[in-house]
Amino acid sequence: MSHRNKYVLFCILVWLFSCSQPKKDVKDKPHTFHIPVGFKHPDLLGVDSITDFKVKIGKRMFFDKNLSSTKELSCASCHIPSQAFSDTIAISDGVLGRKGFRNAPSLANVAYQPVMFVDGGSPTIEMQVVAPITDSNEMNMDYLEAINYLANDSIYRSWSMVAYGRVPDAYVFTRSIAAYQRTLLSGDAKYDQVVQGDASFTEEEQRGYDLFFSDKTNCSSCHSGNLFTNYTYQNIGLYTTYSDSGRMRITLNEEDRGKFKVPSLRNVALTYPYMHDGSKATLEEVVSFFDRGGKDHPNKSELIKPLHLTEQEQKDIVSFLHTLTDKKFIERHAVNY
Amino acid sequence: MRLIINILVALLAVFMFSCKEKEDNITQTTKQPQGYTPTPYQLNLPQHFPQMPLPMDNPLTEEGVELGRYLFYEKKLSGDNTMSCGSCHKPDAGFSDDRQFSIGIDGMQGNRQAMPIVNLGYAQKFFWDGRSNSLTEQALEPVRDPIEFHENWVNAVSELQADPLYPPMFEKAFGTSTIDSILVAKAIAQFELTMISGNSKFDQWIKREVAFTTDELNGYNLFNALGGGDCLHCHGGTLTTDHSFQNNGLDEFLTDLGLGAVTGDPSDNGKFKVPSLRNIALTAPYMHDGRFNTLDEVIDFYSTGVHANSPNISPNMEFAADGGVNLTPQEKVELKAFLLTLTDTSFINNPDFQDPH
Repeated sequence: MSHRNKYVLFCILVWLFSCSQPKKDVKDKPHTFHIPVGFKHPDLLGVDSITDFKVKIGKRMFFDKNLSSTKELSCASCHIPSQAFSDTIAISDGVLGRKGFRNAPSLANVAYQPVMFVDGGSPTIEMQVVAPITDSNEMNMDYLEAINYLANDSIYRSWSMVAYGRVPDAYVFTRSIAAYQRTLLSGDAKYDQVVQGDASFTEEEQRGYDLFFSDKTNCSSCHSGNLFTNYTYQNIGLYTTYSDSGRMRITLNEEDRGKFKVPSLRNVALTYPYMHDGSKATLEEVVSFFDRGGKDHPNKSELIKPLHLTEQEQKDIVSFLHTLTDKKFIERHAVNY
Repeated sequence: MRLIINILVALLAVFMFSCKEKEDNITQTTKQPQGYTPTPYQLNLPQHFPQMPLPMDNPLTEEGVELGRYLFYEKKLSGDNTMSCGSCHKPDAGFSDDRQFSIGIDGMQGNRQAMPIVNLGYAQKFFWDGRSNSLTEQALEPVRDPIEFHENWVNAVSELQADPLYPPMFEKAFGTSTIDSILVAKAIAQFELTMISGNSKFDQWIKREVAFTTDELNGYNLFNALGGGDCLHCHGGTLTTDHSFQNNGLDEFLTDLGLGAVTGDPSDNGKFKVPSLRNIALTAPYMHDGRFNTLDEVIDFYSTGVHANSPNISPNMEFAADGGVNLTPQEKVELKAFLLTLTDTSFINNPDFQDPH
């Protein structure tokens, strides 16, 4: 083959290549995750590459009120971005004045959660997203109707054709909305800046930090690691009789009654009210609860016992917890520009 | 060798055909649903607000408003894709800029403060000097302004056209997937028209839902008292602006002619748009040139800093000859307390007004 012919062949190949992948730069641009210092890259479950475009599709779905039966609620109605994607009331309002039975958790760093729901009832975000949409006490939407809406909305339809090469279906819905949620990474709070040597605690915060990580309180036995949780299920003696059986709801194992997934404490000052049922309004109440050591329950964790903290020590811990608020995360996702 | 080339050409033809067919399929599927059936947008006007005179040539639709929101926060509209409208009309600054002068993509500054975006449907003229007659007209300007986005519309439009996000959204909002600058501006205008703030403490007080503190109530009375703060002539009513153009006596010698430079009428020199005071606590700095950093400075100016001999000073500045309304320190505290009740956090935090990208 002469040089000229090689050149022709090369040109043809280039042409073919460019032709077969139109607009590659825009539609396939991988999403740049704002991965906090010391955090690992979120596990993408190997499902799909997460592209900017898929995240945008998911974000539109997350804020789309058409995904509730009354067209009044979106995911963001109860996972309020400025509250680190949690709700400010104990039990969120569903459609038609209905109420669920648990407090809406923060979605910050949900990408790192090994299982979803406080009872671990859903193994992935992709599976979890279906639940609030279809729950009659939440968005009360018929799942087929929801998918049908997406498939017939010309915008979702076009976007989905470009991003996934298919008309919106359950796959596109669950992957997109999960893709968006996986981008919600929060790990640049004052605490992190202190750890990285870029800021310093006030005296009160420092004392709170010391207490938090001390054997005296044992807070960090469960609230450990970057996300301040070890993802175990614990009964903290919140009640002597639980109306919500917690983990037992999934395992049917009596030893799991009243056990709930240890929540991450990232942005905890914004995620009030607290506990699985939102029964504690303030951080002060929570700390005081742990100080008293909870009520008696056969499944209660051994670590929950009276701590005999002084009032000042309790204040110190609350001050420390406030340093876990990541304002940049809120700005990036709630009022980003 | 000729044979090989022939085969390659044939293959090429086949490939191109198949490739083209695939693209056609995509366009076809995207064009398939319903057609142009936009949903009228139900404007959520507070009950104590006057009717909003909406533009006849740009009816609000759900689809147009949504598209406008994407475009409002679209950085592709700026020359180097680093800025959007939201860069200088920031939600947490009441959709204005916390800097005295916004900085464009080339690091250059203008000479006017970015105006807050709030309740714009009641206005007939836009910009501090009123040089635009509609929101659509206004939205065209920052894009091509060399000290702001420094972009030409042909470029901006072709970037939007190439982004798979937009053609279907334009199709749905305007019945065409062919984008042009007017449609972009219309969509942005639609979005901006929905940005209504009417849930401040002041509004809740009007509706008898909350009570004012003594300071706030005294401040409200001062605000409306002739011989008190004397604010009501221009900033009276629920909207806190009469949408007129006035010279409030900032300077003895004008360095910015304002409305006069637009109309060419010397009797308009020094006049600027009377801004809404809604969310005033968030929209610092103040005045057309952002010269005052705090509300205290603003109140001090109206109290003792007014230049009576400023050309074309507004007749509403009744106490200009005395240098202003001469408030006592206590009155200043009260007036400020009232102004702080105009902050509407549900407005600036409304998820419908945030960046969708």
